[in-house]
Amino acid sequence: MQKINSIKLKIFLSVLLFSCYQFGFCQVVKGKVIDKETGLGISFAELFCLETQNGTLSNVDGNWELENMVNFQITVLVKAEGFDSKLIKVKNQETELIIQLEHSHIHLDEVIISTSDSKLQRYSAFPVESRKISDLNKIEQTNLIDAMSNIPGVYNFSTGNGIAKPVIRGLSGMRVLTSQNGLRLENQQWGADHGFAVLNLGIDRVEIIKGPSSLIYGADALGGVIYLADEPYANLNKQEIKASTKFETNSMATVNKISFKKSKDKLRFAVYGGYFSRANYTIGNSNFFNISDKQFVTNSKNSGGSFKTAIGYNKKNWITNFRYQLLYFQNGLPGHTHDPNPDVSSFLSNNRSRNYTIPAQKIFNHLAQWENKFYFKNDEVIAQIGFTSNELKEYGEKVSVAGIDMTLQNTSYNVSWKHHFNKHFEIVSGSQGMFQSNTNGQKAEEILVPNSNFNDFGAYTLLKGTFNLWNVQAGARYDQRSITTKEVLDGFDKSFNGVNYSAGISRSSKTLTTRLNASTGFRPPHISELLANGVHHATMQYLVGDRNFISESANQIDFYLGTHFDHLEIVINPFINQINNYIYKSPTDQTDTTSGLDIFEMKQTNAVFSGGDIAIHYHPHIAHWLHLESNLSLLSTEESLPFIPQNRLNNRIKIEFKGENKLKINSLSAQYVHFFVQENVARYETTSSAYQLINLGCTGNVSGKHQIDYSLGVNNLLNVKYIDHLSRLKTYEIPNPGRNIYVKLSLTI
Amino acid sequence: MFKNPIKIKKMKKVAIFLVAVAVISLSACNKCAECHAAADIAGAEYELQELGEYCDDELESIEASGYDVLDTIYLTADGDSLPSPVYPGNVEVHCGEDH
Repeated sequence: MQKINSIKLKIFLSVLLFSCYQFGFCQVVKGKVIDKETGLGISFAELFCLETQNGTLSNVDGNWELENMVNFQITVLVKAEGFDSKLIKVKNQETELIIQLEHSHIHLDEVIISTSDSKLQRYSAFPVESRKISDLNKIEQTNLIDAMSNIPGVYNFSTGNGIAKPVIRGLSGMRVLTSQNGLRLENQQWGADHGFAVLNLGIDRVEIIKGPSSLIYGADALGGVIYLADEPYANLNKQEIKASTKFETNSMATVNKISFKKSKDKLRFAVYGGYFSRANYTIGNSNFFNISDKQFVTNSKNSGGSFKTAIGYNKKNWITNFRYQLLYFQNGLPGHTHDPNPDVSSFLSNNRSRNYTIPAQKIFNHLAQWENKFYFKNDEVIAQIGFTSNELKEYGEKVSVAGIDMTLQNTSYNVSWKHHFNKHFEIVSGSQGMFQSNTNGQKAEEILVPNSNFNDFGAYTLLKGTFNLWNVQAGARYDQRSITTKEVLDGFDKSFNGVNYSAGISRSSKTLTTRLNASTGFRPPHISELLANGVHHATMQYLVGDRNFISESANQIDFYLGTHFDHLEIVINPFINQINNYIYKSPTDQTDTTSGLDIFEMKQTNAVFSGGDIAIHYHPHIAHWLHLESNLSLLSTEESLPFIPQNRLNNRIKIEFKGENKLKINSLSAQYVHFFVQENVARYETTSSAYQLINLGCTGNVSGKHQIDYSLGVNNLLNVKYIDHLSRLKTYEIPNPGRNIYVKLSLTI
Repeated sequence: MFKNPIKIKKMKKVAIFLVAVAVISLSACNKCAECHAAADIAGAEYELQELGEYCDDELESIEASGYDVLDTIYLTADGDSLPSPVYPGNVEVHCGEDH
């Protein structure tokens, strides 16, 4: 008996010791990055751990070491200039890794994290594109959406240069879901003048899932998902201070940012601050040389600021991140006049102004998120809770009392569990929910959308398989949304639910990627579409909803064919998205007697969106410093719907330089964008003419004790006077911004 | 964790600087505005008289109470003829507009 007890004790102690080994020490992973062709070490390769969001660089011999990694598994992204990126899953026992990289002249592949697994773009079974913000801003753009508009199929629905809304494959507003590091952002995006609620501060990358194909983000995303990934923390045991300033001539804009990051052992920390101010913007005059005859769009000025912080910690098999951001925007709303017979001159001025005037909107956003990740041998659990608050005040008639004063608060949770069955199969299941409340201010002059509550619940399961070159993925999702308000006649209490699926298959060899994805999605009508009944001064419309609306439902088929040769990449990506019960705004030809504004009512119809993207990237063998990129975005609808973007041909020539000079030029870029004529318009719209823009940009750095990066260039070089079809100011015939010369300086310590 | 006192001091300074920048940037607000008396005639608005700058409670008060026209007005503030005269009574006050 004593002997048995002794054996039991030994077994117990062995298990305890093993557990201590498993949980008591954090993993140290080390190895070498080498050139597959020559076997030589690659110096200064970037090794980035996706789980902890920080990394390290290889030394001159290619050796590297990552400490304090999480137990059980880490995913390391390896990047080096002139080589193809590689994503490696590192198991616990693999602590000495030799990573071979292959030479590559074309690099279009970024890692995808928005689709619940970390993959390089080419292996995704979803139509998703990932781009670094810095790549989209090789020629600096005025705002984040303008930068994203370099991605095929993505457009900017704008109100001047301050208010921008993303459009994906012709869909925007409530049909595009925005997620920042997994936190769903809600900001009354039903309003045409309620812009993107994010400032380009500490954002590293944007991933765009086109259409309703992703099941993990819930209802609404019929147009797609915009996933914004924050900048990584500082490299392990390093700190970084960065400050940048940008000046733009068109609106005399200044954009200033500062950040501080530090990583020490298992703790990571980052803090950011930013501020921008723009005066009224200048329109083009289609005269390259005439710089004296300037006209400014009255009340198009805007300003704002943000404070953002993130703190991360990992221990054993646990990673936690807490993020908070405060954003403030103050946007002038152009298109306001008291002229009895207004024409475009009523909205223009010969004097530039920066002072706050009405009509205007003031927006305060708070975003908070706490994320916890747990890693086990074959499982991964992610739990996120989030809170967002969007306080929107629109001052129409009075400067001291807001016409519209709404606070939208959203509390959300997101739990997902991933299990690896074997090297071929894994399953992801999860649940999301949110409680949302819309509250009108006591003093508000107008109640456009009543006080109301929303409850969302969703659950999904995805099965994923990988077999050599093949990736398959299939899943289903159930969603339920209830909307309640007591503040309308007879009250309103209704639930909407939907079951949706997504299935995709892709095959990716070294030179060819093919992908087919079919998916469905649903969007319950928003309360503004159901119950709106009032004046929206910002859009100068009287809106009337319909409480009998049913949910929109979408069916999308997306096909992708991409060839990747050493010096040439060609991508063809057609799609068709059929939306039943599509909700849109339509004029009634009646006028509200009190406000004098035109009455618009909401309607439902069936709509079909079809089109696609074609992209070419050529990199001549005889000139490895030269990149020629071209993409064509095509979209058509069978019905005449409002705000369907113009087809677009986007061409860019980029010349890259290498050198060791103190004053260095890294790249020169020239962009020619052609927007085709838009004649497929809604009954109350006018057609839009074709127009062309030429942009130039130069990036480089000055080396010294601390590196200074610079970027200078010009947008709309020829000062073209044009009106984009997706400009909300088109109604007033107010042109888009003219020539804009910019200079940006960044200091990194 | 962060044991070096010099580094802690440096970090504190950076944090205080960043918070100060954020607070100064976000706390700037404008509570004053130029006001004018306005009349709505046949769906169009006409500026009757410049009233000068008002701030804070006075601004809220004049926007709420409007402006009392004591004598019939025939001309706009710019000296143009009104389509029809504005007779004595209360008219709206508009502030903070960019014309």
